[in-house]
Amino acid sequence: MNATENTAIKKLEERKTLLRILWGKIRQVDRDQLDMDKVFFLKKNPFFETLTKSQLEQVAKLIYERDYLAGEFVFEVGQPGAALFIVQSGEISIEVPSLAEEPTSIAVVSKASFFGELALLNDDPRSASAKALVPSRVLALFQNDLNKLSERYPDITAKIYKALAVVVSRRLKATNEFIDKKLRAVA
Amino acid sequence: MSYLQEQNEGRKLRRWFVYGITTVVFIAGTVGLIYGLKPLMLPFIMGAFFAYLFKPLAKSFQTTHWTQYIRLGVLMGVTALSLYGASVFISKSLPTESQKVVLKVRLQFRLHERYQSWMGLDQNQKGNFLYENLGQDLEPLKSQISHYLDLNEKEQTLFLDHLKSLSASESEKYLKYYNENLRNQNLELVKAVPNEVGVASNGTKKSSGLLAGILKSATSWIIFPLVFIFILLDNGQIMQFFMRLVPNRYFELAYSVVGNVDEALGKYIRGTLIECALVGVSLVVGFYLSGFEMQVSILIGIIGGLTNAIPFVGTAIACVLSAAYALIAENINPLIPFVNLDNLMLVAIGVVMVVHLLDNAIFQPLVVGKLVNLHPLVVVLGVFGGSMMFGFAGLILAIPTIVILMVVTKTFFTGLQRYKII
Repeated sequence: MNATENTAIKKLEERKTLLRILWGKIRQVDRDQLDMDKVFFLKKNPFFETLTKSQLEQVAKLIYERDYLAGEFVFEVGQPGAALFIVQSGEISIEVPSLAEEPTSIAVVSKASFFGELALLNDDPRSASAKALVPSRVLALFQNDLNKLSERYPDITAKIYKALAVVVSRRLKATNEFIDKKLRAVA
Repeated sequence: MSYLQEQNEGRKLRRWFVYGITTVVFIAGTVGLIYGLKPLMLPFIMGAFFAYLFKPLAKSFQTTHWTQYIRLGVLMGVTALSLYGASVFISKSLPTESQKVVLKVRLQFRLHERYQSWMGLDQNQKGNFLYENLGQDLEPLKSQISHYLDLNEKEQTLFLDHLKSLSASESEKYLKYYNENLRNQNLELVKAVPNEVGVASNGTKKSSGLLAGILKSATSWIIFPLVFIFILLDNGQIMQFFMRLVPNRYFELAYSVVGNVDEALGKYIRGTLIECALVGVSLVVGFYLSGFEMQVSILIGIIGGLTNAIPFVGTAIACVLSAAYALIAENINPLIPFVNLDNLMLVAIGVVMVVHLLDNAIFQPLVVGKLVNLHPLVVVLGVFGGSMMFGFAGLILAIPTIVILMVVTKTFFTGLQRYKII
């Protein structure tokens, strides 16, 4: 390869790079830093781990950030479910009403974990309440937004629903094993 | 009560006070702004309305390779081209100043001729049964319309100039109409001179006011494309901003209410647009079958279809326009056998009525649904009240505003009950 060819190839590459930068700028104009932070955070969650970066960007646009004080309810038992919540920071207690005055805490959800996921399937009343134990920040993804997203990007929502099915089946399996263990203990 | 409890109570009281004052100031400020910026209200709402209308279209051709800026550019280009085409068609269909004057002469002549024919009036001004019973009421109305069509000095000059550009037979015909109109004016013994002076002076006043008016409205309408573009560019940021203002307790409820209202309004607005298009097309077909010229049928169809969004008003406008054209029509080619020049006006009004019935019985229930089942009294009061309070903007936006308020109230209270807040 002689020097002239080398210069020509170099020039071509430079032109390609310039075009890529220009096209990349045009394509990336509507991405902001806040969305990118959400994208990196969401990628760690089991619901969204199979999504690509551009797919996560679409989901990040639908996410709402909320800050809760200690003792504040995210939702209460009996209210219609509308959104899935993911804890970004802090701790959320999942409580069910009991015969005693104080409700029973069945789980404490911390950073990067989620709760209220069944609200993505229907708007049945919540089976438990969610209360912030310490000042917490949670991300909310609404079923309605997911339905709208599925009209344009069915591949994204298919992955999310598949992840949801896996989560629900694991919990069902765990519950079955728990009941089985209890029954064996009684027997 | 401990010191800590007392402190908390004090804070609670102060919080209510601060929130109360802020709310009052915010509401007063918003009302003041709306009142002060009244001229900007219509362009702003129209911009938001069109953005809302075009949003699903902009999203429908969303691909991962196109940013929203490119999509928006393409959409705006297509929209601008369509609007340009429509405006060229409409401006070509609209008569020029001199044609308008000729139309006035023709309309005045035909009005008199048809009135004489329907009332059976002879040389001695003796009429038929209709004239004997209704003549006293109809005569002043007819005179009033006829005087509205009188030409002022400027228009007379324009008319006589325009005659020179016509063929000999056409020129003779319109000159005959003109002379006949003048003769009728003298017969009716109306105070033509003060009226003409009045019209002329009003005309001068209007022309200076008109320019200022156009400039003023052009300044206000600059906001229209801006609102349109920014709302169309919005990717949920506006919703995110407003949701941040909602207290945590009402977060899910607020989202559900906004979602339901958005869905219902989307259906209503897009449904109304499809309904208007169906009404417009039906009017065009109906008028064309009745013998109207194609261009006139399309023009009245467009106006009747667009104004159909305002209940009753659209039908009334289509009635008036088609009746006015039927009055001046001279050569018609009806595809319906029994239509002729004598009954064209009745047929045209019949077409509008049939389309109105079709709209109520089929189009509206099919495409808009039961959302707009407003009581006719509410519609009439809304349209009149809206136009009295906010002029033309009120006339157009009264019904959509009532529908929005209905949907918001219904959804809000249902939500409050479902979330066990009330």
